[in-house]
Amino acid sequence: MWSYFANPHKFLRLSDWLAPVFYAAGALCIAWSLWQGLWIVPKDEYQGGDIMRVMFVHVPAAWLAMASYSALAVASFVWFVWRHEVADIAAKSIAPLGATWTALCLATGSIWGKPTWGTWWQWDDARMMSVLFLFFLFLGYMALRAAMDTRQKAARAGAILAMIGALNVPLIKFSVDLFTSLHQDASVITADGPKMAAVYLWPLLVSALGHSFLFGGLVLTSMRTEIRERRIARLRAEALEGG
Amino acid sequence: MPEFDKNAAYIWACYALGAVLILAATAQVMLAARAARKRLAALETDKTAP
Amino acid sequence: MTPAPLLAAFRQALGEAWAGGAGALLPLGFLGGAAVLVPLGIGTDGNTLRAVGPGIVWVALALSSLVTLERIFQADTEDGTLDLWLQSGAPVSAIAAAKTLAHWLAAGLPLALFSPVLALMFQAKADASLLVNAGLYALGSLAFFFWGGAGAALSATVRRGGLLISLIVLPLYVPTAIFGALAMTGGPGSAGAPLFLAASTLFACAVAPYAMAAALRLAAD
Repeated sequence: MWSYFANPHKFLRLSDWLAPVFYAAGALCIAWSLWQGLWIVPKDEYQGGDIMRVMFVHVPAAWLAMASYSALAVASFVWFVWRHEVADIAAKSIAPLGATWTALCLATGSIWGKPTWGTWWQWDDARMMSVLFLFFLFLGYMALRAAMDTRQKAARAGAILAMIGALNVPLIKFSVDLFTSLHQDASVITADGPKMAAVYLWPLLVSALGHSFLFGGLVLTSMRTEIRERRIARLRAEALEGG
Repeated sequence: MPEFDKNAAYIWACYALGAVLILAATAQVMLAARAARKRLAALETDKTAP
Repeated sequence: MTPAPLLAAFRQALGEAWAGGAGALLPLGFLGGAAVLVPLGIGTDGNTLRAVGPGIVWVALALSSLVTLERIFQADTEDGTLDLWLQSGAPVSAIAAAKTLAHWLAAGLPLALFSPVLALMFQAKADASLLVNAGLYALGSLAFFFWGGAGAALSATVRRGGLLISLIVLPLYVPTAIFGALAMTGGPGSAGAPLFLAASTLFACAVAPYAMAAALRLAAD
């Protein structure tokens, strides 16, 4: 069944309608969560007052950062094993978008940290540290692909690096957790987990859903662009040969 | 617009950053898609032209 | 499978890494230079230096490994030796591991053995812990070289690939740096750190050669 998606033509037909659906769903969810987060949700003095509203941007960005890297690793693995071109196109498209949301997570986390911890960066926060290294993983992946001569080489090199990165992510996370747990410091961004009150949890979940839909739509559109770019390259090559 | 407490600047900064980054990413994706569509269409009509 | 290609690869890499007689002086010079700059930058307070010493040496060790790794595979791709290694019949992962081990012996291990000298400069106490730490540095630098080798193999065809290698391997160096520094600075909760360091090094030695092999096949195409 999965090889159904391996066909670029079938993918183009699917994304023809799926991408707009994702965009619409994403826009709706983000709009609702924005309205809730900025106007409706009451401020929580225990969490530092109004500043915790930042979580409606920061936490979805964090989830997307991690989920998109996982998706990158899975797509790379699928390409490495089955050589479905669409999988490689997916990996290539996910990377810059994943890097963008990761950067958003880091920036909003830093801005949230200033009034909360008093510093722009807290080396003792395991989650922010992990996301920082995730950002480097994305950058390294994009830089390596860009440095390769041909699309095929870029696909192969990228797949190798993505899989090494994925294997290392649990180890990095473990070592960072160990590092930060030994420096028992002031509590960090605590606004997550199911113990959160429903009035905060729903906008958070819907925001995450909205960001995910939007991310998905952007990935689909990027993939469509990449498919077209490859077709353009093939047509140009044919024109040169055909004379 | 809602009135926030002392940390209002930080809150607006985060939301503005989110808006800017997301809109910029969306714009880049859409523009690249349109450019590729145009170039592909041009090439394909070239091919079918006599 | 005969060991001949592996031994040949090992010897060739050792010769290259030994840099025509200069031996370990180049990476040692880099390590020493980097470490010596630190007190100039952060001041000479003995307590501060003793506290940051191990961490500084870990950083310098990581950077020194990057300096030597850029050439580990690039010369072979340039002059066609890589194709010979691929045709030799031995597993490419074993050849890559042999070359990486050779570079570690020539450039990584000497740095670890030199570390007690640096530690003393950073106001460490002159006791057996210096030797223990040298062993920890040796273990950690092995991981640096193997992950660095994977980055070098991926960047083998890229001109001025050194910067790319650094960007690629930085996250991969993190666990070793954290466990290594923890094992040395002691304190609560760091009891398992040497074991974790050994485990992450073993992980690197086990996984990186396969990544290197795949990347080298890519470079040869």
